[in-house]
Amino acid sequence: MKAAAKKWIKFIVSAVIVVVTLSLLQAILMPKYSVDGPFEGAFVAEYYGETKDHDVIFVGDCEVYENFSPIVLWRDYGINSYIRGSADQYIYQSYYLLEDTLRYETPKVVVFNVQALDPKREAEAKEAYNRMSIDGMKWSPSKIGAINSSMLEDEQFLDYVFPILRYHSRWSKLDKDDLAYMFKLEKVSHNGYLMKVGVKPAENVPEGRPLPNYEFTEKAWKHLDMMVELCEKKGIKLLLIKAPSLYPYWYPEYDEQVVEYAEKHELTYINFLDETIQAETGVDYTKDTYDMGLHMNVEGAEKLASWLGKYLTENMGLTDRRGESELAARWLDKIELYEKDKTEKYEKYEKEKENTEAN
Amino acid sequence: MKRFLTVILSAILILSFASCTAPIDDGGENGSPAKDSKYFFVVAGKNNYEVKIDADMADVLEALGEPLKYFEAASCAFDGLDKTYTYAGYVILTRPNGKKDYVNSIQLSDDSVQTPQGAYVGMTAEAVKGIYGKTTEETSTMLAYTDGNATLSFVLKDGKVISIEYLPV
Repeated sequence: MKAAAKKWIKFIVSAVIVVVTLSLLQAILMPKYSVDGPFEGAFVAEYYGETKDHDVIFVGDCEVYENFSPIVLWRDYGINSYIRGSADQYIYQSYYLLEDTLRYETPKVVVFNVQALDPKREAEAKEAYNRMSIDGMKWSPSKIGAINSSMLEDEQFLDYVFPILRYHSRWSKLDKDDLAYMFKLEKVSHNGYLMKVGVKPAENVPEGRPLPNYEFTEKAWKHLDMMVELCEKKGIKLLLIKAPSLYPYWYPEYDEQVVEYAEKHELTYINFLDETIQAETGVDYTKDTYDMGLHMNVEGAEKLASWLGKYLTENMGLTDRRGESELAARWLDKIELYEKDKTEKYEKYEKEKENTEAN
Repeated sequence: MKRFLTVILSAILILSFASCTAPIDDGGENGSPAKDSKYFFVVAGKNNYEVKIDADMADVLEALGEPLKYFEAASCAFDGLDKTYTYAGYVILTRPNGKKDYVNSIQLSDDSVQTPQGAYVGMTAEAVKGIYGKTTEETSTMLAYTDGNATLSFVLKDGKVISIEYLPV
């Protein structure tokens, strides 16, 4: 009896040693997005550290996380928002990230950027982008759904369960940051917003080349239906937007499909590429973009947030929460960090500009 | 117990190396390059320079000179730019790989240029088939011919070619 117990203890201790060793190895080998970049890979995990009582949740790719400033939504309208964004986020990933978010909170409005429906994007899906949207998710049926819907032909489910299987080759690139940030997450976003400064005016933006087929895929429609259904079930208003990114080209044929879908499902759809809306937002593509019209710089993102905040207040029943002392105190800290980040980024930008001009 | 530990660690190591495909670090493509395609674009007036899919864009630029228009788009998150070079009648798109840019597509946008075999924008689908024969893929809005690392694609509207593209496979 005593011998059997001893054997069991040895077995359990050995198993614990194996698991702990592998977990440590995995923690060392995983990319440290928040330190080494790409910073976008850090966004998904960052959300879990937040107090979750947001009024608005955005889901989507760089067209949301670089184009709308949640700080302005709070500062000017008292709207508590968060962007659950990730690089090249595909519609099915947007759905599962939303489903994951709704495990923690029920916002009043969900904003979804329809660029994620672009069939070209789905056809060009890459594992590196899948990883940035999925690896940071906490384990739940939503993460499993995200993996199953995203996996490319040569990807394995097990690689997502044990990322060490895919990242072991990083051993030769390890540095001191991999040890320092094994368990620590450095914050890189402002409620999911990635701040960019600088100006590179939009010019020579190519028109879309003719396509043989403009229809969204069945998979895209299915996940949009699922998103609509999920929001209905939770009593959330779903707002469809097309962010004002000039490239990749947003075809009129794409837009028609979204307009028709929105009408059929009684959803609001705002196309920020529309000239009237563009004029209302005040976005100027010679000043408000840092990369020739693909994304907004911080001035552009603030203009868009300002327009959207007004719209959400006037049309979607959102109320000003700046009177809530605890929430206001949280935002005070966030605003301070935002302004500090802005100052530092501008200083760096101006310095780089001076150096470029000097050379 | 030592045996147990050895078995577990060996299994993990085997699994690690069994799934040892290309590392995930740059959002670039994996896989081995296919052979050069028989489909490529020839620029008349530039010593009949051959622009091929996957060609080094630095060489192409040297041969063709500066484009009429240039546009660059950063890829989401990763370094490197997708670049668009617009010349008279055709557009070349590149993709970054390491420090170099490679031709990712060539689009013939009007009838001022044509394929080496004589197909041009405005031609009927039947005429294209007359030149190229049996398609690799065909729909009511597209005819495609694949060989090696490239697909020659004809986008159709009302039975006529509205765009011709050389695309990577």
